Amino acid sequence: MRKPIVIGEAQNKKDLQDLRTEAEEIQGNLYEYLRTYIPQEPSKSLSKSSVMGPVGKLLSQVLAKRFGNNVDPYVGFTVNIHRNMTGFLPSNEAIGKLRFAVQELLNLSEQLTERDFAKLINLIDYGVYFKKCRDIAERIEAKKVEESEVKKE
Amino acid sequence: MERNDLKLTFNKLIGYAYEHKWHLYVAKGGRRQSNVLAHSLTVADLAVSLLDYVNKTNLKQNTQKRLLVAAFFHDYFKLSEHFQKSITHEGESDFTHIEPEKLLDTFKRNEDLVNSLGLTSGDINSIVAIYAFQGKKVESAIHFLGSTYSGTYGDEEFLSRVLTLADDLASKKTVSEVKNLKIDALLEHYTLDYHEIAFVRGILTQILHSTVEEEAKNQGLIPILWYPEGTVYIGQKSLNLNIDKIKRNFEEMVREFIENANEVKLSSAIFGGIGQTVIKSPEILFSSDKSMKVFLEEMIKRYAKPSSLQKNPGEAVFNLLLIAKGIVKALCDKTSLDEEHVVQKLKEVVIDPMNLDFNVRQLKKFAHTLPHNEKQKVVDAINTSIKKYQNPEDFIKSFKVCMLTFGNWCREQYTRNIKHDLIKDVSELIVNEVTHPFIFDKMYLEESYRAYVDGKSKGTPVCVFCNNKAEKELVASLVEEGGSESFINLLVGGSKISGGNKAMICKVCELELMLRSLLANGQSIFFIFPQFNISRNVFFMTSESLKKEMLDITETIPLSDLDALSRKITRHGVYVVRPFKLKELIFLRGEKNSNQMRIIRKFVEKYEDIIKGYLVGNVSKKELEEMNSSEIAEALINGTLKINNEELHKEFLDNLSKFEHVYQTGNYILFATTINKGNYDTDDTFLIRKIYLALILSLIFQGVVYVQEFNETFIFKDIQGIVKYVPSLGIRDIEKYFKWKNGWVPISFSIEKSVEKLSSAFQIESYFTRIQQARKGFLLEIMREPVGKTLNKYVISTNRFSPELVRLLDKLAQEVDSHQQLVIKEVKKV
Repeated sequence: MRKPIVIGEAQNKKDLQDLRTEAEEIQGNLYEYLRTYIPQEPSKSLSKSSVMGPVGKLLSQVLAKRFGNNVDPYVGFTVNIHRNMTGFLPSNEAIGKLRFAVQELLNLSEQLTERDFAKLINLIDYGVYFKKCRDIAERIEAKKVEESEVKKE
Repeated sequence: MERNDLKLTFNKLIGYAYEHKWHLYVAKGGRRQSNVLAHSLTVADLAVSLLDYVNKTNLKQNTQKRLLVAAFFHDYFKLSEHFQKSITHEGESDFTHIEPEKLLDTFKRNEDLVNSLGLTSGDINSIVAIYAFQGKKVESAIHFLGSTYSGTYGDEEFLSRVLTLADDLASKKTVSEVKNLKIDALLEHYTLDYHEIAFVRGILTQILHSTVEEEAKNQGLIPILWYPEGTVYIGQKSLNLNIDKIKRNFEEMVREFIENANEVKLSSAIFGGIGQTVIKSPEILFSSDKSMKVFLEEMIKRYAKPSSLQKNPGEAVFNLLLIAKGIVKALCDKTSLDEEHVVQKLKEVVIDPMNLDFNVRQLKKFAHTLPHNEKQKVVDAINTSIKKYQNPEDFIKSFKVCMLTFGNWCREQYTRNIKHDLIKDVSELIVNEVTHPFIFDKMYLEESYRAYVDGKSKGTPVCVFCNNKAEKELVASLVEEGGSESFINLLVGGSKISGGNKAMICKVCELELMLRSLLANGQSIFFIFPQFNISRNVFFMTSESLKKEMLDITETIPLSDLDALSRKITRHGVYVVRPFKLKELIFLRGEKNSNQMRIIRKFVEKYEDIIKGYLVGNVSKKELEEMNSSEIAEALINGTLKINNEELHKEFLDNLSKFEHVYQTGNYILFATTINKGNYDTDDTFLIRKIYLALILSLIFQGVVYVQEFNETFIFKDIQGIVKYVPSLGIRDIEKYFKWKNGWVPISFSIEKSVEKLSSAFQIESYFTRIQQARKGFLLEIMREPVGKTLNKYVISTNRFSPELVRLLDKLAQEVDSHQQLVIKEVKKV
């Protein structure tokens, strides 16, 4: 016997456009956390996964809802990767930012449709990546300036 | 005060206003907007102009300058956050004037401005007092004047009344509102009148505006304020137009326009294409011997090039005969002549003397749709005839003479037998569009309604552009380059697309399109309107600064090269376009001005050593030797000297053709330019390029820019913001680049930011084009996707960062604030 297909209606879901400021806040917090992440053996690769470090992995876990709606497992998951790569635990402040971002993300997942939530994760993912890249670009430019000054001297 | 001083003061005030971003503040809201800069400029100039007409007694020194500065700052209170929020309906309503003390503070804070304007502390007190009187703060005004207060109706109060009158006048959003303006007792000996035109079509409306304005001037009325749809005059009596005189003058001006057309553009304006309507503008072809000669020579040059003559001379001559057949068709359509008779003449004048083996019946069937084997037979026959000549070029020389004889005969017949002279007909029709001071019945309304009710057997019942009575099938190549057929998209379900469903146009639009192809064939047209009105001096000043700044053509940015333009903007900021250093804005058709002279003189100077050897005219060799470059340039423009070298002459004409990109009266500017379609452009991305250019033009002219699209009517009353475009993109994500409201970008949505963001998008696209990662519609992809994704794509492709690209992406990611907040933030920074 065929199973009936139940079509549910997404109720009281928000529009992605209206959550722009929240998304930017999460993005900012994740980026701030990422600034404290300095691997023991810095990779020379410019690939996205190496630039994003534990945050890239965290976002995919949140999208898959691996630990449901519990905040701590996600934070723990990220902190573990952080410790493995850097050899030390992140600061309390960094963990606070991470926790806030995860909490907000999980809240938003309730307010958005699945499709929009995936879009949001995508936006945050590339947003954090871009901010980190901007940092790298600034460092490259500063280094160039430094080198040219040394040459002049 | 001298006119030059006035201009200097004006320029300094404009500089100050730009620096403080007055152009991003809304002065007038509602459907037709105006920004504080555009409005203040107009009021300031109008106030000074009105001084000539009011009864003035015992005014203090520096009257003009004081009035000018006071008028320029008369809307200073509109720069406040409260007012901006009120007018954009984002906050509580608060339209009160600010205290005059604040204006005084501003002057104190800007010592540089005050010093450069040469204002004394007495002048400043007087200016603030004028401001206070205008804001009905009499006590405050008296306080500022102190001992210099000269009682009721003294100097400052009098000037504030002039200012109020100017403000009232400049605040009218349509020309007809002026009639209802309560004129101050100051103007008791003068009256205000206006003319108004229903449609803004383009060139024809400009000519009509000029004709009416000329007539008004003859009657002693002076134009003081221009609107896109009309002009306001001041004079001692009302405007009384002679309808026949207007028609006659209009007709003359249109003919003059065609007569003065540039030779380079003539042939492309006439020729529609071999596979289409061969002669798309018969009126231009038959207008003069010159146009017939230029057209035929160009066609022979195009189709009988030495290389094609070597390859297949028969084919070349076949094509030329198709063109001759096109001329026959155009002639027979326009006159009562029998086609057989004209074809017989073609045989007598061209076919027989050249010994081409044709009979009349074959010639009648002659068409580009001829089956291949029949066409081959004809080509072979022509080849046999050509063999009798020593080389094909000799044949073409004789052929050219025959074609010219035939062309001249056709022109003669056209003049003698013409059924309806289009220009004359249009002059009869277009005066109906002058709604004031003439008042006509809407004669076409009935016709359109009848056609709508009864159904029309062929084509659209009314003109697809202006809804007048449609009389003629639209020739597609007049509207779009390379377009073959124009059908309407409003077919009854189940019906087939056929010749019966062609788009139809009226005679006036037909002539308009012909004239436009003389001005800008295959180019994009932009209408630049003032932000609902512009005053006399502001208009002349804009024109003059254009002329002045355009001279150094080697250092300008070509507007058609959007890549170069966007590069400049991303590097030096959007202000790089402000000083009008754009190549295409070189003035002006119809005005033999000094700028034109300077450019031709540059050309003469460049080739001084060789050019004298090729000059022909009624000048002796000795005289020629003694002439300097300016005299030669003048003689070349007047036509007393001509260049007898084909290449040099072509370059000379190319130089002249630069003047034809802009056609301008006071009412509006018709701007045409080529926008190069990029390799990866789709329709949507090409539209984005057009909008980008429109935003830039709007920034330069502080005007409203209307992007003209095919099938769009020209009704100016729809004006609702700064730049108009069709939001056919249909992609919501694009909204962050230019917010729109009913297809218009309003002033408050920060056009500068939009221009900067779009410049970055173009530059990013060219980055990806360089690494060969771009594809169709890539620009849109860049604009829609998160910037990080674009960067990642670049990093994956090249395995490196480009700090420059990151900077561009950063600019692209900035939000265009939907409120006035952004402007306020920016100004606070300044």
